[in-house]
Amino acid sequence: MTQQNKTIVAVLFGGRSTEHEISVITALQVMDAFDSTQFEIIPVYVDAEGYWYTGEELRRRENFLPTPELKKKLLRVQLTSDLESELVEVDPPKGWFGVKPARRFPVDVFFPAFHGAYGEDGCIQGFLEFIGAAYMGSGPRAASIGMNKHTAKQTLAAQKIPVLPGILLDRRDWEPIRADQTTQDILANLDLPLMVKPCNLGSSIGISSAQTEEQLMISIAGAFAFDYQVIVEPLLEDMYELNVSVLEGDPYRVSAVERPRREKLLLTFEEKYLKNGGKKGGAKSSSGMASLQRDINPTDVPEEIMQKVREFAQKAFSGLDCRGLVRFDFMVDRKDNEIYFNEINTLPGSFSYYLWEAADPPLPFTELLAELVRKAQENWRDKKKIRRITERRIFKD
Amino acid sequence: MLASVERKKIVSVSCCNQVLPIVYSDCGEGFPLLYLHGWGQNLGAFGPLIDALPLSLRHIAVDFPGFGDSPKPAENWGVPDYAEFVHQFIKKLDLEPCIIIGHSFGGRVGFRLAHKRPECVLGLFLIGAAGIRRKVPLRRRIRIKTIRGIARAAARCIPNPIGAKIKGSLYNRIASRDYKEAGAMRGILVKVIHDDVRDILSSIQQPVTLLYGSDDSETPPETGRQMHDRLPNSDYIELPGFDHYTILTRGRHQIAHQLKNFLQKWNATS
Repeated sequence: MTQQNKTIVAVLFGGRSTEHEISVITALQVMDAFDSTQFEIIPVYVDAEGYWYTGEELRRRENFLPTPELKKKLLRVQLTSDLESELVEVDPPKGWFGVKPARRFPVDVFFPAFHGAYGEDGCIQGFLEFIGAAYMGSGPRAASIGMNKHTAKQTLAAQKIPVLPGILLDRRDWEPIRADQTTQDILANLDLPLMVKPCNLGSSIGISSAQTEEQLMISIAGAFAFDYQVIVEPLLEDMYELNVSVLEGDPYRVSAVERPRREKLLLTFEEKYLKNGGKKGGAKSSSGMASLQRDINPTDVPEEIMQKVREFAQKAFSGLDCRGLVRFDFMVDRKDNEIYFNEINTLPGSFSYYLWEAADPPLPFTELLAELVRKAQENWRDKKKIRRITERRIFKD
Repeated sequence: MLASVERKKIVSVSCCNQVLPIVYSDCGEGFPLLYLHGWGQNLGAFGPLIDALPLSLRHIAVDFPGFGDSPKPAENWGVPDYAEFVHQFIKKLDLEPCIIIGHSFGGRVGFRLAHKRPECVLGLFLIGAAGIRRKVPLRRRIRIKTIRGIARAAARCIPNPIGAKIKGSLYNRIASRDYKEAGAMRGILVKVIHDDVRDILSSIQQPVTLLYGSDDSETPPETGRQMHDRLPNSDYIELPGFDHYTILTRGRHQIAHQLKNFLQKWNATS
């Protein structure tokens, strides 16, 4: 806490992920929406090389992505492996009497606003757990299961949540000598048309559909450019998606349900992030996931389906031991109204604030963020109660 | 255009011996909140904010005469005339009493209205409110007076059209952006910027919340602090990282939150 009794929140964003820019947009939205009378925000930008920076300049959209000149004005910081919840200046400058002591920035709660690898997949959560820091969102296990589409499906299938059958491919399966055989194996188990996705990526990056064997091979090769694992599933040609967010609590809170609007069969990166004002200005004017064209609580979807989706989402949140706020995406086959789990986002774009503003009762973005920080502090206090070191029995004095 | 302000309506409002067709937007049901925009803007400026607010409140945003789609008044109105116009608009739409949400110039009008017609204003929630004439630094004052003197002398000594052209060009060097862009509204602008609400602030008894962006150079936070010192029942909140305009867009979530606090506080005390 600062002198004015504000909670200090370090918003972590950027990172070594293909979703780097989406993370920047989410973080800017979050930093703008935090109640500045209650919270003091420390922006922490992780660049594509993995270096950490802080500075007020990182709260302004026009400064992204930072130029080398701007980076020189920013302060390089790091988290150390000590059990201290603070950011420490890297390479402090020299003063009259030698090197100045490194500046330290105590943090009450870390708020990861990453998407994709190293930020949403349990890596940063594992490190924050290791140093005993309070952080917002799911722990390393839920985050890593959630990031891997195949593992998430297997885990949720065990919870009796319907999933589409799928085949997981490893990069070794796609070596030139094995590619033909792998394709034949897929086609022996699944009928065309098929959907091909990188297994550990979000934001629709690398996703494509295949109507023929040749297209399947091209799609798989394309997906392997983004990931070391690829998942192949049947393509539902006549389907719609329903997405819903769940917030930690007792009981869990469930947001409004959205049905994304799309022009093609698969929702593209452009439709997700560049639709509203993004075409001219790109990420400079995009509002991230909030840009997507959507129907909120679509009235033409039968209530039984909407109810089922809400139930599945709560069950999945509990089954994966999620924390904070999560968005679950489902697919509904128009042929038989069957619902299938599609994917989970443990750190969803824009933190799905648009779904919470439309929830019943509505939860405005600023209040949602305050609630997430409160939950993070509660979880941290609960963890501190767990006895970690037992009485000395072997190495006695 | 945002959903909340895209369906526009027109109402005839009589004020200062003329009838004007006034454009406004109206959404939600419940207690009325009347939105008054800033200089050079229109009701659309409040779109992002209204979209972040619940429809259990009634949100009415109006294009001031001479702005957006509402026609310019025949005469050069001052701030008291605009306040009287808002009073007539409130009566016409049967909004009395309501809470005024004003941005910049809209805040200035809100103060005048709350002072002159306290019965129709239950509270003021103002964002980057204008109303206090800023102290111009001595260097700038000297520069303005010198250039203005040269411009007038040039207009007198050099025959038109060259004299007028020189005068116009010199005036442009000292004019504000608003003055340059005012066009037909220039006469009104001159009246508006000379209006200072300092003397009336101590008599405004309604609750007032003043919000300012820390990076606001048009109505700097110092303006708000001065108002806060004079108002008997006010809160002052500074939001870091926002300027005069981004406070309404990027800052909408925080403003919506503070507005909710304001309404809850007002509800608890009324």
